[in-house]
Amino acid sequence: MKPEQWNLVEELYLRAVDLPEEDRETFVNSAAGDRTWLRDEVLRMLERLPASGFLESAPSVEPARDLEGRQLGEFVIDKVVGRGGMGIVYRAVQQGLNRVVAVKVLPPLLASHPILAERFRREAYAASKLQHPGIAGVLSYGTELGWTYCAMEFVDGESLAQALSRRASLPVTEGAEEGAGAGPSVATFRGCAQLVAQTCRALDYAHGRGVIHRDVKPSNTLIDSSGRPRLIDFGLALLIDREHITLSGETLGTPAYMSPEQASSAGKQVDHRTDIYSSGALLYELLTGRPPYTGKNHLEILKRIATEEIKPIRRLNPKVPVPLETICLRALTKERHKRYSTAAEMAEDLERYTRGESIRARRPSLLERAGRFARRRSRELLVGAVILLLATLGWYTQRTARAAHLRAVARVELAASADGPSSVTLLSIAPHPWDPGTVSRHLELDGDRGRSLELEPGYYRASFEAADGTLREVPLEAVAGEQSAHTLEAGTRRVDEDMVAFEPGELAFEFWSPPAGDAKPTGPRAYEAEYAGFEIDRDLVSNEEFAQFLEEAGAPGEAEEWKRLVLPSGDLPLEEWNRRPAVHMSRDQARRYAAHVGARLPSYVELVVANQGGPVAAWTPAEEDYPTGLARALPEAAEAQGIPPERAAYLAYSKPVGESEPVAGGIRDPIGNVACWAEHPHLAESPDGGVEVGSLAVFAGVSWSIHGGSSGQSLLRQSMIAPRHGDFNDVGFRCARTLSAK
Amino acid sequence: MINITHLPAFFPMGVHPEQVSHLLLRIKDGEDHARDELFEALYDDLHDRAENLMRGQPANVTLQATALVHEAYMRLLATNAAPSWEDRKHFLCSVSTAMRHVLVDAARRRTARKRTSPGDRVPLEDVLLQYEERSMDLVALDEVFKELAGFNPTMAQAAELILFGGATRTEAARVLELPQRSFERSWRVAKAWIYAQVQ
Repeated sequence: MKPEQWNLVEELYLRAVDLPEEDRETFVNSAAGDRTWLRDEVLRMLERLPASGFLESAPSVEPARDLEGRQLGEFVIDKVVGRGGMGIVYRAVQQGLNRVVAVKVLPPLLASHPILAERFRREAYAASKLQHPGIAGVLSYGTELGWTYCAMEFVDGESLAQALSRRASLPVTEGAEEGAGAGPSVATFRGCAQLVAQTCRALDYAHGRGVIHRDVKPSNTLIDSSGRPRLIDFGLALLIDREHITLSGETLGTPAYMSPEQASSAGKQVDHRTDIYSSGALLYELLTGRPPYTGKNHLEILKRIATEEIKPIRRLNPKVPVPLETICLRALTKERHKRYSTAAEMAEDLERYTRGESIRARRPSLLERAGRFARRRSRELLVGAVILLLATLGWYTQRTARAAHLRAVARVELAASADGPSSVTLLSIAPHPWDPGTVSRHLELDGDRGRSLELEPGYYRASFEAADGTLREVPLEAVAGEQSAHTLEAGTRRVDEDMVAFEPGELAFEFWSPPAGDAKPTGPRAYEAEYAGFEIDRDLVSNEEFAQFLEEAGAPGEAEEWKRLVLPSGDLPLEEWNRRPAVHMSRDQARRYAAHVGARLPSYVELVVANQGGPVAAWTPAEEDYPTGLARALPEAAEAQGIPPERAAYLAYSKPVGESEPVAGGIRDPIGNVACWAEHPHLAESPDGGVEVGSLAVFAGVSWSIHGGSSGQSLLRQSMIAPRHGDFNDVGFRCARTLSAK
Repeated sequence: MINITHLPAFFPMGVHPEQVSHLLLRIKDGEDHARDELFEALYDDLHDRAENLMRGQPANVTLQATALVHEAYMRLLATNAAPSWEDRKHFLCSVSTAMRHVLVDAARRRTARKRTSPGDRVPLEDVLLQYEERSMDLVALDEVFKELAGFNPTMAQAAELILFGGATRTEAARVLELPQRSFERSWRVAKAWIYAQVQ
């Protein structure tokens, strides 16, 4: 068939198919005239119309019928009672105890996804620790027959969603005191307030134990036989994120109760305030009969949540009391730091309302409701970000818990070895790998007269600027209840044109979670890191500089060993080699070099910021800058001459230091030359079970030989966790130091 | 000393998500062969992934084509925090094509293997069975799709998106940049035509 013939088929078929069956043939015959091909084609199509479901969707298999009657662990599956986005819920009987439970089964493919399965397991574990009358607890978690499941208390009652759909009309009365025995009613304002207050109490309890629900909505709120709301699916909804929803379309529940931070981007970390928002959404629906945002499809709803203002409550139900409206609006504020800061605060306000007292919340201004995501600068948020990071990094909650009991005061005495006035900036290093530290103290020293100060126990960097303008940065450990003295030595490096300064800021990025012990990293996570102002070398350290360092300060034989590996053997003039970036040093060697010149290695965050010229990319690489994994296309001539491929690649693709144009932000060669070592301070478990400062070997930046390629956005963020003592033909370094707080 | 190419140690199998991001970028820039490269990368990835999953699963666990596609997308997301709609569109097109080829190849291989060693389970067998349960012969459908592509490539792609990429009709219309109503119209006819061919 030809395209134009197809057009005729299309037209004729559509006209014929809507006719009564017996008229179709006659119509087609006359319409097709002498075009027999057209008649035959269309009649063939009309002969048997497509079976329903044909090409409607890709096949999918539900585990439902496979599991009924089977046993998972100690649970005998009875029947399906519900379907959530992330699995099917069955009624089941727990053998031995002979009690009825609800068993939620994760779809096998999600379960086989290592990242998701691990998150499911971790959350189920956390939720199993919750014991509260407002929560249907997790009883057990397991994997059997390839199914990953989670057993929960079975609540015999209807969901709030069902109660709402049964409700005859919107509440219009305050409602008298509730009769004994009967729970709060969705038919009165007071009843609605009580239900949400009880829900908030349960949430607050869970938040206090580090568990976020993430999917508070009417269908997840069951009303038990005593009329009390009980939250189900605690923490299990974490698998539901924006991308899941937009991707799998109709298969998941509604996102109508999602918080703006959940709705706005994938992988963004949410905290307990997402539940506060969703409780507000719950209240909104109780009061107005509809969720705050509706739309034709999920995508539309998500977009509205992120950008639109909610419909005024009292326009939908003019009888809603002003205090309840205020509570609702406060909880639904788009910017989360302007919501109630805890679920308990929201519960208290709701309880005040039910008692007829005046509430605490202030009405959000129009601007607050509209939620212009203003540049987040407030100190409150800054602290919030760190706490958030801590709260969400399950990986080291253990470690922070250990660190917490050290909390007391450490006494530190600082003195300078040089004469004259000098200054020290102390940076506290947060116990997570990404943060190069926030400035905690700045003090002036005078010669060797020591200054004593009290510090929060923890890890610090002392950035020391001596009287002669030289700089040095040293690590410093402040141990609780102990006193330590440090004499700061002058460095050899000065602030000069060789370095580029970056203002403090915050960077959103993704990183594979660091390995714990021998385990492989489980997957990339999204992080937001605050960083202090810093300076970084405009240029990579050259071969000449690094050779000189090893000769002056290296271990015996170290310089010779390195040179044996890297010195040109007639394939490159020595003066040309001297100008190329130094490579093949281990991260520890790079670190020693930095310390030698009074600086340090940049953190991963700092390198990314420097590479892209700021916390957001200030420049885009030109087409010719993109590395294309050239290492694979090595000059054949080199191979023929017997030059090792890694050496040939270096000779062919590394560029002399300090000759290219600086990019926006000021550094040179962020991509296409060599990548850089990064310092990655974090707390790690020491072999004796204590805590020590560890450091991952990480390099970042984009060398000529990156694997495969990268998108424009992440091009400047290429990174790899490397063996600690490994060295590479395309990894060098530049030095950094913290900007003085002066 | 470690050699030149950084081994993708943290992407244990198949495609490197960053590679996908990069290819998507090149597609956007109008590089036509980037589309082929993306297809190949995704083909290998889906194939490896299916085999690996089969190996680790008890026999009664069922794989789904759409879940595989979904998962490939999830891993792409893992690198690229917020792919644009354009990214998603190109990805969906390529991954549907890749899935179609993976499945059709598997169906052909299975036919061949059944002849030599009957009773042998092949990777993706379960996925194939799901299509067969709905009376869809993938090898025959593949031929029909090819023929359709000859005079109506848009609808051939729609069929592929829906049947192998797990797209809904709404999503397919959006990918193909057709107003929903005209999409529904054309799709109705195309479906009838395909049905007539495979009967």
